Amino acid sequence: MSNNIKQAAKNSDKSALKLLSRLFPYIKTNSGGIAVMYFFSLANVAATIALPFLIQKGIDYGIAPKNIDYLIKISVITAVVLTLQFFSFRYQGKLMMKIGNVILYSIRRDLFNHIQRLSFRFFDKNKTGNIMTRLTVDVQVLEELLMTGLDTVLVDVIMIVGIIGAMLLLDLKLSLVLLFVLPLLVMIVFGLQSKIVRAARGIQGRLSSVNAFLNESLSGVMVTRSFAREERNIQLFENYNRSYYQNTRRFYPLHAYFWQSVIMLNTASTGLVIIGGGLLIKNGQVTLGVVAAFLTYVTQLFQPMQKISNMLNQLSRAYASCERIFAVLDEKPDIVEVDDALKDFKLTGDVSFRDVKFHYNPEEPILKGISFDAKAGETVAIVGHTGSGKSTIVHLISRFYDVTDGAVLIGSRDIRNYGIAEYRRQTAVVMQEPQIFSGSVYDNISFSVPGATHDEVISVCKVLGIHDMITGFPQGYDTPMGERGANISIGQKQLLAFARAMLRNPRILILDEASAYLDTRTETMVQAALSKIMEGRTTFVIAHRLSTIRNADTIYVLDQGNIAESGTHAQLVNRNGIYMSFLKQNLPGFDSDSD
Amino acid sequence: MFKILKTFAVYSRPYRKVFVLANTCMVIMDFTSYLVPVLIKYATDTVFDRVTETGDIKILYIVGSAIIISGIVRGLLSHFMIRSYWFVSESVVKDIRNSLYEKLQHLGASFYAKARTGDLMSRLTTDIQLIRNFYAFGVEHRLRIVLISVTILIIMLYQNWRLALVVYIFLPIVYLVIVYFSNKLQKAVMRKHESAGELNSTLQENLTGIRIVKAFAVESEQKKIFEKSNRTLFDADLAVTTLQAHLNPLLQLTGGVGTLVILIYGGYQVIHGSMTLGTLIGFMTYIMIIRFPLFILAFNTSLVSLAEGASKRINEILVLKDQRESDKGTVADTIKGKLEFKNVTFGYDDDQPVLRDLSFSINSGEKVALFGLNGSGKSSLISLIPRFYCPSNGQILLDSIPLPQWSLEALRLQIGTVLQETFLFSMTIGENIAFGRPDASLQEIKKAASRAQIDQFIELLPDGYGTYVGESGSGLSGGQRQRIAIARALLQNPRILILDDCTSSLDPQTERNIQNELRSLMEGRTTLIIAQRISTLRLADRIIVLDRGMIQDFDSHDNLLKKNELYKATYETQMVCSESIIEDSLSMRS
Ligand SMILES: Nc1ncnc2c1ncn2[C@@H]1O[C@H](COP(=O)(O)OP(=O)(O)OP(=O)(O)O)[C@@H](O)[C@H]1O
Ligand SMILES: Nc1ncnc2c1ncn2[C@@H]1O[C@H](COP(=O)(O)OP(=O)(O)OP(=O)(O)O)[C@@H](O)[C@H]1O
Ligand SMILES: [Mg+2]
Ligand SMILES: [Mg+2]
Repeated sequence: MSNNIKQAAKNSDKSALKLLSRLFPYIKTNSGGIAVMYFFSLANVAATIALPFLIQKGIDYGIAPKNIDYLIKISVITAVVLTLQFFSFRYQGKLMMKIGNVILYSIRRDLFNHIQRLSFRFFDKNKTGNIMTRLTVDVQVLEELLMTGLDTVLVDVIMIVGIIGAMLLLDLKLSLVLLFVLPLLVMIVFGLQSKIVRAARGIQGRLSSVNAFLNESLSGVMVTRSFAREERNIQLFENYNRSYYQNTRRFYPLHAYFWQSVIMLNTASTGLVIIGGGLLIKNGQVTLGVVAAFLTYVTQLFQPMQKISNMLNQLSRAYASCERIFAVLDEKPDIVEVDDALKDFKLTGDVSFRDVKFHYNPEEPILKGISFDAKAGETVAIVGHTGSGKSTIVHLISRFYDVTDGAVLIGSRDIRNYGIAEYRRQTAVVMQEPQIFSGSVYDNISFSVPGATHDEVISVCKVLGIHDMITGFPQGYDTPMGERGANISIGQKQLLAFARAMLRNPRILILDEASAYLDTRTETMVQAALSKIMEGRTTFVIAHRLSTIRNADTIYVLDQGNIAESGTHAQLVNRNGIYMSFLKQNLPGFDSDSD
Repeated sequence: MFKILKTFAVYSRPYRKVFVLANTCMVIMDFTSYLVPVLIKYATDTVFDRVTETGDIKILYIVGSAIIISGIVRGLLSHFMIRSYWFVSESVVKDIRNSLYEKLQHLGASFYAKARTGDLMSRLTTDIQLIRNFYAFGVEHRLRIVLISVTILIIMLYQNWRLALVVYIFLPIVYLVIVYFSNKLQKAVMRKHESAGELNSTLQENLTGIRIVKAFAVESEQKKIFEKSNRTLFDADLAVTTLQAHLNPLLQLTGGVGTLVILIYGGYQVIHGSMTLGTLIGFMTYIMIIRFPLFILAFNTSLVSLAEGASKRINEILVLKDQRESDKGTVADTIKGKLEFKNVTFGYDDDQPVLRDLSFSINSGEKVALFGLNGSGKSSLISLIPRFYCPSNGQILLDSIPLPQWSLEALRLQIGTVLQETFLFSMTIGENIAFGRPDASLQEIKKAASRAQIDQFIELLPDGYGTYVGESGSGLSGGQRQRIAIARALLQNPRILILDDCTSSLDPQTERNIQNELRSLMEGRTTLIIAQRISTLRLADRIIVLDRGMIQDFDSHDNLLKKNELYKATYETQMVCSESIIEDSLSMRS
């Protein structure tokens, strides 16, 4: 057992060191406060140890010999010590909480800010839920450590040493009780409690799976509904829940054993002090006051021990959390700005691909050498089978990913030479899945230009022809959107996404199946508006509907990661290739049944 | 406290014996703990003197052992008490959690249109945890606070009423101070919960929309929004912890002052011979005991009132009416597929009808398409058929039986729906396809995949059908996701198939291939297709043209071309160059 303890202590020592070194920058900014906090902590310890001592003096030299003056003197000193204790405890607590909260706040801020810097690849790999956990659960584990343990390391060790010292000082023989109490206490506190914490960690894991399952059930509830899968889901949930429950049933007996042993030991040591004290009193070796003081000390030993053990366990838990937190903080964004990136520029709208190769995973090349030139003012359409890489191409234009090979040139300069934020500020994207946030219609549109006035938003909507649609909503532009826009139709969501993109007045506009859900009349209207606004600017359109792409200046047909055909609508029709085979599907004359 | 116990009485009833046992253990345990100070007093007053005088140490050992034995008894009792309370709390909470989940699975679409995932999650996690704590130690602490302070008062009064009164004079003041703090604490904790929830929502929304955030380079704006939530949480956290930092020293001081009072006033009495030294030392032990209820009082008061709030929020969901209540239907026949709408009116809010007085009928085995402008009510209309929503007026008949008379499960299992927005679960592709029929064989899954034109793609993947799909299908292209959703519906082998604009992200060729598959598959089954492409609409026998929630026309393609303005215009826009293309290609062929 003792080996185990040593091992555990050593491990947590090492982790503690590592952990502290990473947390150091956060703590350092508060080092003044920490020093003051420790000062108050020590004052508190001193007072706590002094009090039983004073009471003993009062009993032995005041009450027992009936010396009222002495009793009053001691009482005054006790009152002063109590006041000191009160204030130092109070300031220690306040400082500790303040420092802890500031550290938590800074970690949350740094995490969030760092996450905002990370690129698409990170979010492809990591689930929202997992990233959320870093910022919530892991930070909370740190919170527990900081709120309960910041002062422990030093203070509680001193407290234990102080109590033992006081006991030895008061009476050496009666201190023999310690030989019985201490080893048992160490065993219970360090042995049993680390088991408890380990079990608790298992429970935490089960609880996360219960919650993860819950979360997804809630988001996918409509699908569950339409497949009448409620009963099976309920069963699955009950399984998760049961597994968690069974874990807790292994856990709380440990907890019960822990408290049982503590209570037994506590009371038993009182009994021992009485017996030992009685024997010593009989021989006139101690006074009654000393016995009374011992009674207090023996029970006081327990609390700091427990706090230290708690702290050690919490450290190892916090270590795991810190590791995960710092893993996120250490994550390097793979889209980085070069040092001398252009900050002040105005895009002309020329976009060229030079033999661009790209893959998400090395085994699966998606683009195998794409080259094209799009001139400012052109409308470029990209068509191809689903999964052929159309969205991927426009992702590269937005620089959500960097090419694996080749180059994307924006106005004859490599895209990687531009400052990312400014570059994106001059471009706009309407993505395949419209994303609506909770907040009003106005909030959703002005999302792309924070601080845009109501009038600006309204004028964009008027130009796009969707002003009437919005004023038709129950509260017009102020209509609150449900979660993910649950209270409007999909086409309406897409139109809001359009307005959001156009509000930016972009030099390069990317429409990734942005009108897939729009009806033809609305689409024609939006297109007409666009062609006016986008005069002299570059537009990339991905679409499957002929009516959406036929007016494009150039149409690129993507096939197997290469551009198979390109040209205007008329040229491609003449070629009678893949493009034509797509068109035929749209045409009544080529219906498969009339073939 | 009783409010909570009453609210969840149904859940705690199966465990009431254990609960009674826990309370019994607790009472006995507390009584044994008063024994110790009595024994100490006896030792210091009588035993020590007797031992000194007679040298007979037997009695010393007896008293010492009695203390040790009472310690063992107390330990055992506390063990059973803790175990029983925790057993009850975990069991009750497990059952509540199951009921909640069951309820959430059955709550109607109108509930989810308004509900917030973050809010629901916090009820299911934070609130449940509060209820757990309430049963695990909230009740115990509350009872012990009353029990201990009353019995200690009685014992102290009995031993020395003057000293007892002096000590207890402080208690009402202390009590008031603690109540004052605990009220503040409860409010502060509540605010902390709220701010934490706020921060979570901000975070969740940012992360789900992170691609848009990056696309529009509004990271700094998001940082500002987060900073605000973070700041609020910081303030709320600080308020809670500061209150605690104020309260704890105060409680400690109370204990200290009690001891001091005993030292002065008790000492005075001892000196004047009206009290023994043993009584004084015994009193000091009582002070130690009474510190426990004092210390937990504030914590307990705020726990109980927080748990009251939590139980209200949980109960709010538990008492909601869900689909099972409206599921009085018993008809579970095989659907033939004849659908009749009779004067159906429907709106999400009562005052804004989305569908108005719709009457039409669809023959069994007929393919009907729905066409209309955005927001005209197409998706709303089809959501009435699997009874996601109920019409506010009028009636829908399926095979001449009113929909409410059908058993919900039978109805939905025979209707295959592909919703307009694709949602995939983070499971493997195979599991996603088999979502509606988890027992389906791989063979069947492959067949459905091949009908949805996605089998070739899946088989090229390194892990095939075992490929894990990321959150809401990340890592797949838009069309790939849609086809998996189609495969999922086809595996149902439904009697009625509803496709809500589910080929919009597919290239025309893939779409046509799927349609050819569907054509043979859906032979003799009713199909409802929503689409914007004329080429898709043409597959239907008849097309409903929906205009602002009313039926404008219901006819075949050819007839609509003649009489429906909107349809004709759409056709012309989409087919504008068809003639020329046909001519071109024909001329090329010749
Ligand atoms: N984040 C990703 N990680 C790994 N693979 C991906 C990722 N995104 C897309 N893919 C894969 O890359 C290929 C091309 O995807 P892309 O989204 O560019 O297709 P697309 O042409 O836009 O198709 P659709 O018309 O269906 O939207 C697909 O096979 C897809 O599975
Ligand atoms: N959950 C909801 N709560 C309130 N209003 C809603 C809700 N869902 C849709 N609406 C409103 O009801 C009307 C009809 O919406 P519906 O989704 O049926 O249109 P749709 O014809 O499917 O349109 P689209 O072609 O864009 O998909 C719209 O005006 C929409 O804003
Ligand atoms: Mg795409
Ligand atoms: Mg719809």
